[in-house]
Amino acid sequence: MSALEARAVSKLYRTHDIEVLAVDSLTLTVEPGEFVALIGPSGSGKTTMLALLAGLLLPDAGEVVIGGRSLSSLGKAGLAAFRLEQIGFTFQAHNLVPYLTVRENVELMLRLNGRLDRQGRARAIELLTQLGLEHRLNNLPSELSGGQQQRVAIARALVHEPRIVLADEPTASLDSERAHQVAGILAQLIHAQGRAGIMVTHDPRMCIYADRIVRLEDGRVTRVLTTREEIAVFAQIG
Amino acid sequence: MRSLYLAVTEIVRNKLRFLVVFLIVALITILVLFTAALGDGLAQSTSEYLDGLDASLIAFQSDVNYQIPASRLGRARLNTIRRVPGVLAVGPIGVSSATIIAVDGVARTGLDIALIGVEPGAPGAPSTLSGTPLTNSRAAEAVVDQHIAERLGLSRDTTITLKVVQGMEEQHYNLRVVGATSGSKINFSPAIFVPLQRWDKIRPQEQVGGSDNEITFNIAAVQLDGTVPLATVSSEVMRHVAHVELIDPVTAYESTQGYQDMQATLSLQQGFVLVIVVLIIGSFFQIQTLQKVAQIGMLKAIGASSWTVVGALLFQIMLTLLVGLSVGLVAVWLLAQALPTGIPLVFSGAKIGVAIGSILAAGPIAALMAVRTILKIEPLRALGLSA
Ligand SMILES: Nc1ncnc2c1ncn2[C@@H]1O[C@H](COP(=O)(O)OP(=O)(O)O)[C@@H](O)[C@H]1O
Ligand SMILES: [Mg+2]
Repeated sequence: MSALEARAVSKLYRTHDIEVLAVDSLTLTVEPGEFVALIGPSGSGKTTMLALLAGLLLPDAGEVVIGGRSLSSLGKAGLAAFRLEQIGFTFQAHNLVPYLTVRENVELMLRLNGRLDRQGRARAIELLTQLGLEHRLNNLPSELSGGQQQRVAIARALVHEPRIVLADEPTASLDSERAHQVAGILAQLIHAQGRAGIMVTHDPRMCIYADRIVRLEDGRVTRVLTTREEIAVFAQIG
Repeated sequence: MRSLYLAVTEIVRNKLRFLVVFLIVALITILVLFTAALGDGLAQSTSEYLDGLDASLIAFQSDVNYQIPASRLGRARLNTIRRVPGVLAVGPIGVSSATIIAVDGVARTGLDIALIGVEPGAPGAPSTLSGTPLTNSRAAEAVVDQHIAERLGLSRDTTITLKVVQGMEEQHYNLRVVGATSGSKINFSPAIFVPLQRWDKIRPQEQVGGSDNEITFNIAAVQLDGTVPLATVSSEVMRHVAHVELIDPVTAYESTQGYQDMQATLSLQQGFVLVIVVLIIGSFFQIQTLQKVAQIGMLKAIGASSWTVVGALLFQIMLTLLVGLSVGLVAVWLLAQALPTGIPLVFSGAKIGVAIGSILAAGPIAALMAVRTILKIEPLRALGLSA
């Protein structure tokens, strides 16, 4: 069974008299242990797609099926509970709760879904160690660099062992070296833990870490690259 | 509890910011409690004597709106009231004021007191805590309130000198202290009691040393024997005795000039202070919530429910109020210990309870604005989208 299946999903935004078909009957399947890069120009529908996959938006047509269940059938409370269990999220900005330490931010995910036990705490520390943050456990987010904050967010996105990991532009605010570090370790953990990972990015260089590149334009898939060679070329020249 | 965890951790990590709010709540608690205590204290200093009277009814001259200074009664009416079935005893009460200017011949800073004339042994006469009650109906003797006794260091057989104005002149009268009483406050002053005939001579009036006319006093305390219902006695008296109205002591002091206005003013002040609590707490937490919109959006996006965030807000508000309130209560207690006696502050359990209750009740009301903001924050904004 695929970890995630989007079946011909469409999303139409209506504001006053303007209609934007942000996602246009898009189909996407991601397997456990697979890391997919969603790339495309600004306004191509990447973020909207991510919101659809997380159940933050419901599609106007088509359906998103995760773990065999269609998100459209879950209802608002069901969707929140679903995200707590099945989704790990990293955002472009405002990832962390400013008054919680690094460790507390990661453990928060487990607190929220009621699974903060000894194993959970140990997993949080293990992840933070793998992410090179073992000396920052008791620091507040304001004491960390942007790259460190993104790595804390990655730990939080993985600590509850979700089926899906969604990363929205995780490298957007980082310099090139840090960006490679963050995308690389995200890919590595997703592979090692067998999660289905989707990273939205507008930076072709970050695609080198993906197993598949899906390129969007105007809400439609315009290109899919799957072989290592294709991906390597794309990552170099875009 | 996720909410409690978030609420407490945020406070602990932002001690300084919350300290200010705690202090504001503490100061407001002090203000609310002192206003309540002042209300009770002022009420007590107008009502204490009438409230403590061993009488079920008080007789006033009719059509004076139960104003003691305006009311005039004489012996004849008193006797008629006494004969109404159900009446056990009637005691005349004359109320005026004077200033104590000397003790045992040594001048003192003037102390304003209420000068009450009563008939020894009749309703209205004070019971004594120490010394002897008034016995002689014309002697220059006084039973003094213990507050006055303490303040001036009076004991049995001390002589006090009163200053009153009679006609155009200041007159001085000496009285011998025979006993002390308590609970005598009326007209914002503790009282000294003298026999009615002595009172009639020394009270402020037109003629120096009083006149030889029939004694008039202000009101009368009416004791019932319990054989006839109070309402019946009351209406019988008003039917048989011309120009007399009877009311119960509570209505009597509530009718005191300014009493209702004073209480209303203090209640209004308390009301305003409580509105201020709601606004301060409400806007503090609303501003804080507005500063946390991105963070709250993120929490909702990863799956936290609105109620987790709202719960944290409510916990924070209630914790703030509880901490501030506790600090305020301790401060009030310390201040009350330090205050000199004679300041009309009465801390009654009931009023303190109401004040604490209304400060706590301010919490949920104050929360309303911020709760609305929290509910409106969409998880989508964590991705920079809106629905
Ligand atoms: N709330 C909205 N209302 C109307 N149009 C929107 C809204 N959000 C996004 N859009 C439009 O939908 C399209 C896709 O947006 P988005 O998913 O953010 O793209 P990307 O993340 O690739 O930049 C864009 O044309 C954008 O202007
Ligand atoms: Mg985007």
